[in-house]
This record gives sequence, structure tokens and C-alpha cells, in this order.
Amino acid sequence: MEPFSDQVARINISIDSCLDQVFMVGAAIRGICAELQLAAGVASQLELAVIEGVNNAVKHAYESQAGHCVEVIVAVSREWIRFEICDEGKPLNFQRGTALDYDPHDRKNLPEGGMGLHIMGRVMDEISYSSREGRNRLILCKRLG
Amino acid sequence: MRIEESRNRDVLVVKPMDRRIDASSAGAFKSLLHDRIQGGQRRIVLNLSEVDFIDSTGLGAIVSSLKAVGEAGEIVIANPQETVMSLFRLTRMNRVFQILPSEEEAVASLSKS
Repeated sequence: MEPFSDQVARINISIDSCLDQVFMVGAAIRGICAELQLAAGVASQLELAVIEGVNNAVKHAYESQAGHCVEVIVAVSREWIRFEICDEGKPLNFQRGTALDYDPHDRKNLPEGGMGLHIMGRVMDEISYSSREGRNRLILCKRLG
Repeated sequence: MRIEESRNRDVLVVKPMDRRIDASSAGAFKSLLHDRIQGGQRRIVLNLSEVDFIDSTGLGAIVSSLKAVGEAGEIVIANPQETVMSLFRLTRMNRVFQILPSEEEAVASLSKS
């Protein structure tokens, strides 16, 4: 049996802007990836990338203040899986493809933060960010197969 | 966050028992490691066998601790699951940390240095 039809399947996941709740997004992503029979390595990287996007929304867009909504819209076709992470907080200074440039032998200057965008860029095939009419959208897309 | 600790000569073994080290738990994890480092511990094995998810905030806590032990100290990663190894590779931290397949090898590595 095919895991899904020719149509695009969608599900919306909403959490409060609280880091304690972000794991629920990860659990949902794992479940979707399992249903799609994606390889374990791909599934774990997709979970990581989406979690990084949601963490950014909570920590930066909402400045770690609970009581706001972070929405993750997951859309799946035969060819791709797309995650749209939406918030209505402060727009991010998004620089596509920000490289994680450091000397691994220079211990004092190793990065302790700023790795999330790099991870998303490494894992996903397409990544974009927009902010319109008070709503911020981070779109992460991965081709399947 | 549940953590088991043990000592082997001058090596401290820290073993997180929760499956996740993420943005919600990284602060407490970092505080514990920094507390041990400020207490004089400079050789630490981080046994990640029970951990199947670390995000960049959790990784940042580990990196911060490596910087805190200084050039004379060391943190060795032991027995990471493939999902965690993937994070180290994505961020090139596999070139920063010594990563060994077992706690015993990690302890032996630090005992020799």
C-alpha cells in the first residue's frame, strides 16, 4: 500500500511559545516520517531542522515569552515534504545559507550559538523566510526519494 | 534533567539519562557541567548512550563546557547514537571533540593524557 495518495496531505500543529512544549513538534514530525517510511537518518535530520526553526520562533520572535502561538504546517506530496513555521512575533534577521565558519582547533572561539540556521540549510533542499502583515513564515522543503 | 555521575581516578563520567538535550533542558545541563568544572574537574567523559536527540542549544551547552575546561582540560564524547553523531557532523563538531565508541575507551583516553 502506498503511504499517501497523489494529493498533498496537510496537518497543522500548534504549540504555545514555550520551549517546554517544542518536543511535541518533534514527536509529531517523527510520527509523520515513520508513516511516510522515510529512512531513520532523514527523519531525525528533519526533526532537528524543524525543531531549530521552532526554537528560533520561541526564543527570538517571541523573546522566550509564553502565551503566543507557534504553528507548524506540514505538507507532504509524493515528491517533497514541506514545513511552514509561522509566528506573529518579531521578524528575524534571516540570512539564507549563513555558513558556520570556525576553526575547529581554536577552542576559545568555538560557536556556542548561531548554529540553527546552518543546520536547517544543511538538512533542507530549500529554505525561505518572509514577514508580511505581522506574520512570519519560515518554509523548509525537502525533496523525497 | 536526570544525570548519572561516576568517577574513575581523575576522570568524571557524566551520563544524561533523558533522551533529549534540547533548548528546554540545555540550561540545566550546562549549569551542572560548569559547576563540576568550577569545582576543579578538567577531564570529563560525556556518555551520550541514552540520548537520541540534541539540538543546537544542547550542543552549545557542550561546547561552552569544553571552552570552560580550558586548553589543559578535555571533554570526550562516548557512545553517541547515530542521530547525535549526525548533529556533530552537520556542525563539524566531530572535528572538535574526540568521539569514542565506549565509555571505557573514553576514560582510558583521558587517563593516558
